[in-house]
Amino acid sequence: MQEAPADKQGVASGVYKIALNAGSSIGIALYMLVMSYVVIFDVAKMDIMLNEVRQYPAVMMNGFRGAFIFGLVLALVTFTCSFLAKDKTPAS
Amino acid sequence: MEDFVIRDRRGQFWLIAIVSAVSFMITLDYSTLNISLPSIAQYFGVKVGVVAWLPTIYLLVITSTLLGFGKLGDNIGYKKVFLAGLVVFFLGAIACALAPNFIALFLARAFQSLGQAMYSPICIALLSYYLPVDMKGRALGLYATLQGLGMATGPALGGFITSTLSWRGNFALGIALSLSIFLIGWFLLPSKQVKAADTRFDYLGALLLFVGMVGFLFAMNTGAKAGWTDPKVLTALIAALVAFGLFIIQEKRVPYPLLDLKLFGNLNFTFAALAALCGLAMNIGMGFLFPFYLQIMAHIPVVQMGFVLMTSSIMMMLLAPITGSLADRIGSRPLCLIGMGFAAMAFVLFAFLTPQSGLLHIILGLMCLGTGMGFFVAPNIGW
Repeated sequence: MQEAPADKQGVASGVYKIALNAGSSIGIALYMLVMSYVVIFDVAKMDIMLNEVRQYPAVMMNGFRGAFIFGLVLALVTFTCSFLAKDKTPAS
Repeated sequence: MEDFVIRDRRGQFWLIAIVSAVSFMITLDYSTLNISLPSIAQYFGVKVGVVAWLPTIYLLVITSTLLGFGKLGDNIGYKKVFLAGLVVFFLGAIACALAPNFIALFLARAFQSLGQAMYSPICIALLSYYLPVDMKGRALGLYATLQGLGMATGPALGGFITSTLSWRGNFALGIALSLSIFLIGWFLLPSKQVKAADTRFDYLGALLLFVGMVGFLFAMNTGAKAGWTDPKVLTALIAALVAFGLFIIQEKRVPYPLLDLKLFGNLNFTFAALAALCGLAMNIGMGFLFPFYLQIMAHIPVVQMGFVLMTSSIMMMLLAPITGSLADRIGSRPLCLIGMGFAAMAFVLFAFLTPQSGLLHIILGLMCLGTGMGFFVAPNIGW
């Protein structure tokens, strides 16, 4: 948070904490969203009832795999943002 | 500010100890709850999507109110807000432990989160305000390490308590810790403080931020099941968009904004904050989802689950102090990039998991993720 002006360190810390907390909330919702979509897609394809899904480990596994691939996407987005945020002082 | 700096070693020790203990309590509470979510869902007979609202409401209430409580601390005193937060957290934890149904647990958790929103922003303010300049770095380092310790021990402790007692037992940790910290803090925390020059508070901004976050997350949580054209989901999405739009207008308009938008003019700050948002979304979302994978697909017992999940937090805790000081010498960017390289490797390993995968595969993935976050978190904060 050294990038923020000295007289706005408090606000910057607040913004940073909001980013952390919002990221956490959004993360949970997004992982659930991706997993649900993958499972619903498989359920529709296999013509089974949604409440029977636990009896089909392959369908559940596909749901988890979808969420893991989404995690990979988030890692790559974070990588890109980190690349775009330059260090204030050059590395010595 | 310099007039209120604590000079005696004893006072400094207790201030750092109290704040670090709170930092430990925050992550311990969060991680013990996460590991007991499948048990809570089973106990009350609710779906995974419903039980997901417990950590979501907790973070949501904190996110939408912490700036306000930080400002309240400036206005009426850090000690008052800090101790009041501990009382709210303590009462909330009791209500959670005794909740007769899921709705009661949800409401109690929302109330408990208000407590954390009160003391959470005050922790850093207390260290910055009362410690000499040359002690702040070390104190913040200890604060971060205790945070990691809570994250590392939480899953194992939560798993052990859930399997031997009940998920309700996890709240006893919060009850005992918050009461102890309150009593020590009541007697030993300094209370002298200069009052802020501008004590006005942006209530409308706080309300708009809260409405926007609630609407957005409600839509995210229910959209996949109910469908994106469902009237409830559409209403929540529109309400969130309108609230966020009005929030931006409000923050530009008032001279005492809750969130100073001028900060985002600095692109390095904006990208660092975006990286924090995405990196934490990746890690915390995974922390929520992975216990379900371990229980449903890998059939790992709850008590063992805690130890498995701990591997990630241990890697992060061990690396964070090293990468934090390394960032001062070589900059934050290379370390964050290495960190996300490790995280990406972890998700590639996870994507190849099958119901028959061995424990080694799972632990290797978690260690990669923990290493990635160990490289990322401290340098990202110091950016």
